[in-house]
Amino acid sequence: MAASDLSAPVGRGAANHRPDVLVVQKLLLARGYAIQGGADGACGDSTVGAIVDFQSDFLRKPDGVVDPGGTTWRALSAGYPDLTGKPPPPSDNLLKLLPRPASTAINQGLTAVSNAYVLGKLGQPLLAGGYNTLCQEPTNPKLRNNLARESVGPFRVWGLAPAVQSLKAVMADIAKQQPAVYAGLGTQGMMCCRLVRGSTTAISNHSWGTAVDLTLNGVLDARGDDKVFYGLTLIAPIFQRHGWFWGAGFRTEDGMHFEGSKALFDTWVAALK
Amino acid sequence: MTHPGKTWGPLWAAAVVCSLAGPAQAQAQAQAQKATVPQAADQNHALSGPARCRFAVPGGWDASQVRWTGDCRAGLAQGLGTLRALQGNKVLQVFYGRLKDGQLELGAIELDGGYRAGRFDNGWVVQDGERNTLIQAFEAASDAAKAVAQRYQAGGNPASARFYRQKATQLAQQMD
Repeated sequence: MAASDLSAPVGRGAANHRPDVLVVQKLLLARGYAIQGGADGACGDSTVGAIVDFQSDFLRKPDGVVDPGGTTWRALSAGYPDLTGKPPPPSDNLLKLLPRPASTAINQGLTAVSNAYVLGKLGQPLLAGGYNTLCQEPTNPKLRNNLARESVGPFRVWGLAPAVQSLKAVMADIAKQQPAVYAGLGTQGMMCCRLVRGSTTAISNHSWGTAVDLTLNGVLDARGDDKVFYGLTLIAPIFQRHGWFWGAGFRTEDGMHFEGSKALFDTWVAALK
Repeated sequence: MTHPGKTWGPLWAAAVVCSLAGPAQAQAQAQAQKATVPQAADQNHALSGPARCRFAVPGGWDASQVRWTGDCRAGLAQGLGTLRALQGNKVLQVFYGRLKDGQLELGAIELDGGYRAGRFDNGWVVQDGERNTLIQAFEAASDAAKAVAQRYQAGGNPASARFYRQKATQLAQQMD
């Protein structure tokens, strides 16, 4: 197999050579597409489903096949030069540490939305309670009815549908204005119903799918060290223009975290089904 | 991150010898880029360390100066602990987490201002897109730091024990 391509098609009714299937599976997983059983080199229904799912973000008629050098392959492999699902090589520059910006210099005109406020507007994500330290899927039917799982550009997310659409617009601007950062962006998730660490009552603000945690070149910014990656400072103004509040402005610095500000959140609530 | 080891030089000298190391004097110099791109997928799969307790090293690390602090079983590192990449007296990078039969399983590599965390395969973090994997990785990392703290406490090194307890708290609070 060439270093930058498949040896034969992968997917529905294709040759499905094991090394090719493994590469496709790892790249799909890295982009957040679920494959039952993980990357095992066997192209079953789950892998074909993930390919179709991936194609549906940019093809009118997904066919469930990844052809060598084809449109799907180019989209799938973009940003993953070693084809293992590992992120692109880091740039020293983007991971350079800076002191967290002064609170007056970021999130201008934005207000963080409180846990209680979201709870009042969207209700309990788990109707019967039972939160613990791990992510659970919401049981609240209204919330479930308003969730979307789709690609926002560099990665795939699952979150509140209007928040996902807004994030997609943010990412489109980042692609244009900060392409080097865009190439290294990944996520550690949006939707996650769980307790705040160390609390038996407070729910994480990821519980409604209105916040996202980013990685840069596969690295998570350390929370609470009052430093942030340079790359994050480049994209924070873009998030801000779209009404997203940056966690670097929280009392405990959380540089990898962005969430809808109160004003933006209100527009999302108004748009719910 | 704050690394309070700058004033602990004497402790550090003892740590390198007995592998009950003091706090990292220069973890802030960790080199993020080293752990990113595999030069060869299996080159770090081979085991390193002393014959009584062998271990694999994280991808991209120089295996010649890596120390495991944790339990061993049948000559292989096993359970919660730390792997520290050293350069002279400096700690370049630290893995906090769980090893099984000498292989990295789950945890977090601390870099300068950040972490690579998750499940490991052949020494490299596997990106599976699951937030729960990440949560569990930081839990394992925090538990590993606690386990190392207990070793230091039992070994009569309360300063290092304190450092690792603080690290355990930081790791536990990484994911909201």
